[in-house]
Amino acid sequence: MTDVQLILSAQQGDMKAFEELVCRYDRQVLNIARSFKNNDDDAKDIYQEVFMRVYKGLKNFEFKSEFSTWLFRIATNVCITHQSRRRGHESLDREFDYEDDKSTVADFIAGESRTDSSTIGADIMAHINKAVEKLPPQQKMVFVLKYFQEYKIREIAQIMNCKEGAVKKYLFIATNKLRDHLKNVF
Amino acid sequence: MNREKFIEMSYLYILNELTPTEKEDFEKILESDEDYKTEFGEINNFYSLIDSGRQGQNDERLLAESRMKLMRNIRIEQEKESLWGNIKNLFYSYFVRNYRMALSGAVTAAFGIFIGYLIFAPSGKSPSSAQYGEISAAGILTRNDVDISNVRLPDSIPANGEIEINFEAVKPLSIKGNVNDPMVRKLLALVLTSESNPGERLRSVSAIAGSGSSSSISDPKIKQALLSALKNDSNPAVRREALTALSKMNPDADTRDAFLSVLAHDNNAGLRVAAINALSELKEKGITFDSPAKEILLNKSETDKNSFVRLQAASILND
Repeated sequence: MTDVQLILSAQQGDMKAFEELVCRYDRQVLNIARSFKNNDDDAKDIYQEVFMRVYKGLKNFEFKSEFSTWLFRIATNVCITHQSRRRGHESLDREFDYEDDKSTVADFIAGESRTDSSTIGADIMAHINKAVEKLPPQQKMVFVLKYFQEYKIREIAQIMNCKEGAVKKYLFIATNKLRDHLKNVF
Repeated sequence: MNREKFIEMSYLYILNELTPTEKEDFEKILESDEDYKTEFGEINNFYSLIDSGRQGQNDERLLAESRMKLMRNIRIEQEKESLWGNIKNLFYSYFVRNYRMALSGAVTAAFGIFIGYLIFAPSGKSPSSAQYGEISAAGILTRNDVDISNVRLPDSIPANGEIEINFEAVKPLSIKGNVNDPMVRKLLALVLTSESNPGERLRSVSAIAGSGSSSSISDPKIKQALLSALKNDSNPAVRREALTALSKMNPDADTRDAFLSVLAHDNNAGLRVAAINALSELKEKGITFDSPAKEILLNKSETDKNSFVRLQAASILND
């Protein structure tokens, strides 16, 4: 069945059709949430919120865009607002992080006890994730969708409901910030 | 081209976001300028580093847990919606359609309250809610089978010594009965869909599967719980038992679709084998396969990692 057929059935209350729609796209939603939050519990919360919004909003879906675009737009909005909600609680920690965190990936690599390559790989990942975490939500979302989920800039613009130029700008600023943060690695 | 523009073009070049013409122009610039070439090398190194930070794929357990929780949340939402719908219907039928009846009912109720007030109104001070609370709490505290938890005391004790203590009292209950009893069935279905302990879910689904009675499985609530467990439970043993239980019931399109869903989405080869065998049995019992079902079978006959599944899918299609 096509997405359109499934949506029409789901709009009539067919739960099997709704489940099929969920199964088609929920991996990608969970992937986006995990890349964005870097935390399984947060990703699970986002997953629930996204699909509950889809469940409630599907009756009013008017096929003005692709279902997947609409779904991923909800997913990115939920990720960003989830981030914003947590920011209030984390603001003090974040300030502390910025001021206190002078370590670099090079420091990790140079550490005497960290000679195992997989440990070093994990440390690099942790450091990259930490740097990504510090980006403002919109820049972070563009970065995650582009680098970790490999969407095209055109697709990101559709998902985030903005112009391609804006996506390029976010990407440029985010990448420059990350390069700056990780420059001691090179 | 200034440096900032060059950096932006480098990002887009590496990310394969330039048009062929832009790409060609960029490569020419890169070849002609050693400084740009060095900077491009640094940017490339940065991208290699980012590549190592890519997240792995979702683990299936996380996905299955999320799906199951979602279906549970949706069921709760549907119950809320239907409750609200019933209240609205009730309101409509009594207060809009039968407004005369509603009006007379309201007048009678008001008259009854007035008479009740005249008869039972206390002459002195009415007992405070705290006193009622003490009476019921005292009753609970004399029982040995009630667990007390989440006790909350006030921060300070007032001079008159009067304090309010809040707590939760939980009483364990048990039900004894046949698997085919409606109440036991309802409880088993509830355990299967809401219990977080996979062992309990497995025991619940085994009880349903082992009851040997098709009537218990044909109960719509049990059937819905089994279908949901088969498609969404994170534990393969629970999914397997749910499949066995569903195989025992009268074949229909719902079970066929659930088996097809397992065949299409389940990562566990053992479950896919069980699903394809169950589908084969359904076919023998006269269940037909529509074109989307055939499409799944065709796809599995060509792409499934398990050779038995491939063969069996092809055999169902060819029969």
